[in-house]
Amino acid sequence: MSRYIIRRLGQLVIVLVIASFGIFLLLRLIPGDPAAVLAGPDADPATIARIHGQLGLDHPVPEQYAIWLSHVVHGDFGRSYFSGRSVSALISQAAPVTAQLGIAGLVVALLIGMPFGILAGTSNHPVVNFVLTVFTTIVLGIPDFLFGILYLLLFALTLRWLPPGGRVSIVSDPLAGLRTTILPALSLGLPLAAVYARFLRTSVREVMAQDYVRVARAKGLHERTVVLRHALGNALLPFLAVAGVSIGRLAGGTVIVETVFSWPGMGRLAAQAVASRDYLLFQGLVLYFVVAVVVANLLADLVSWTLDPRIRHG
Amino acid sequence: MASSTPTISTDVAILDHEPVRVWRWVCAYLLRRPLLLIALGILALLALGALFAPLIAPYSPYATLKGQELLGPSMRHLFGTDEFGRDLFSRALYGLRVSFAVGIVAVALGAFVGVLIGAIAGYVGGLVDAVLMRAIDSLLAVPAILLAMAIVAVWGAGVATLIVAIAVINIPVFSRIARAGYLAERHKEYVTAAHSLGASGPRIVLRYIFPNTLSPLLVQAALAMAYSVLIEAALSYLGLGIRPPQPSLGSLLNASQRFMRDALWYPFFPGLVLAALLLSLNTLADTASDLINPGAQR
Repeated sequence: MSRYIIRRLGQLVIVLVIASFGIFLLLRLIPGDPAAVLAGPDADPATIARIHGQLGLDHPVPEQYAIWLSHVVHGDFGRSYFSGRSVSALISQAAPVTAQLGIAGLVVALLIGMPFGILAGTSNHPVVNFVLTVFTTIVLGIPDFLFGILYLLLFALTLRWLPPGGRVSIVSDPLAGLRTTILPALSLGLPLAAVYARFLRTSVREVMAQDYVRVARAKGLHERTVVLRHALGNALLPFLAVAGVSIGRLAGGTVIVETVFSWPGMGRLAAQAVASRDYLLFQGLVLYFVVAVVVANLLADLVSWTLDPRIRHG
Repeated sequence: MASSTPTISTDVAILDHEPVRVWRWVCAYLLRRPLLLIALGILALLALGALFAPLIAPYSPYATLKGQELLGPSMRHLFGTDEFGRDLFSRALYGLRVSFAVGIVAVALGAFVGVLIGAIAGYVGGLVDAVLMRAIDSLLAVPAILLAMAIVAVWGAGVATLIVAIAVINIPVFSRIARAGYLAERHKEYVTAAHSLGASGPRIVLRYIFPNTLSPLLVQAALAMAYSVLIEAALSYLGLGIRPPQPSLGSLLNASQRFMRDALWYPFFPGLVLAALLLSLNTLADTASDLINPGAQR
């Protein structure tokens, strides 16, 4: 293990501690007694007293945090007061839905963004660049939920090609699952495809101007070999970091897209939790999302570390 | 002002001279960029519409007209009416007002706090820098929309909460940009000179260094404006932003979704207004970024 990985893990722990403390504080920041808030508007004093004890509210704040953290680490996020079920059960039910959407969105983003960005980076054709500029401007300018509504209008309600929302598991029924996933995945993935394409164009251009690319061309290699075998690897390295960071954006996007297409995933659950003031559920969901984002970033960094000797040897 | 910013292009350096030439330069620049001209035109139109909404709106945004529910667009109701018989053109105008107000105030607030944090971190350095930047990293670890939702969860939906929530999610980027600027500037000769003249720390941070870190911050302000309008619409769409019956472009779109099977125009017009606002703001931000980095091609 190099010093880089140790430092990176250290940063990860610090960020997780600060973020989890912030998420823990969420409940304490709400005006009034958190136990009364959690118990709901028409709870009797006995229930409130019981929750008071569960949260450890009579201990000092750092101790409360330690109690909360030890529960959380054991997978105990408490009970959703709205549905009465345990938060971890609700999350484990919603997680596969969000995973299906997130992975499909990422696939759309990569399948559209990467070829587009590489093409625009290697060709100087004005039409290619114009198309990319128009594409990124429109896709990044218009919010994802507006796109979602447009897709619903066009493909589900007018053309009737695809179902207007709802989700079928892609594992249990691949074909129906795919049909329900296409529109949400497009809403989630297209903005990301624009971000990827933009970044890759710049990155590919920089690499194509390097001396070793000129050498490869001078050797008489086919242009396709020059791009795919020689240039692409180096252009993709900085892209990895961008892809890692974009996981956060993807996670945020699921909140909106799941609501548009009524998918019972973690994002829609989070929106419902805030609307119904189901704080323990929201707390658990945010923590889950944060850990996913931080781990995705770490993975991207570790892959770069494995592939790029410049990082490995500092 | 421009002459003290080394990264500015020679084109902009003309701004130092008399006002007539500045105007001629601005006109020439606009003529070379028809897209920017269109964007500015749309933005001006929308801003005027929002500003003078009480004068322009043909109906009150809250007035329910009996027997006129879900009407299509006509001369009486330009954008049609909603399920309660309220005029959608009037509601969209007032929704636009919310977009502008929330966007402008939230960006100003977020930029102020963010730049303050970034300036202190970059200028002081050391442990203070490390602590502040880890805190900013932790803010960035939470997806922006969830962070905003957390703040709404604490204080409940409404305009004031929305402004605070959007300001908070704007803080990290502003502080990172400001920090980078202060790190780059703090060892330059003019700062040393100010020190030896006896200028105080706050004076150096504000009067000497700040103007030289301004240009990337201005670009970010334009980007953040578009982003903030988008987040406001998204939160209101989720039912966590502006509370009904007050109109917002996001909540209009949410309400329209239940009726769009029969009323295609219901989501169309609020969506069009929102898209026009966002696209023109983004075009503006791209122009600002081109002016400051003339070399970088997007």
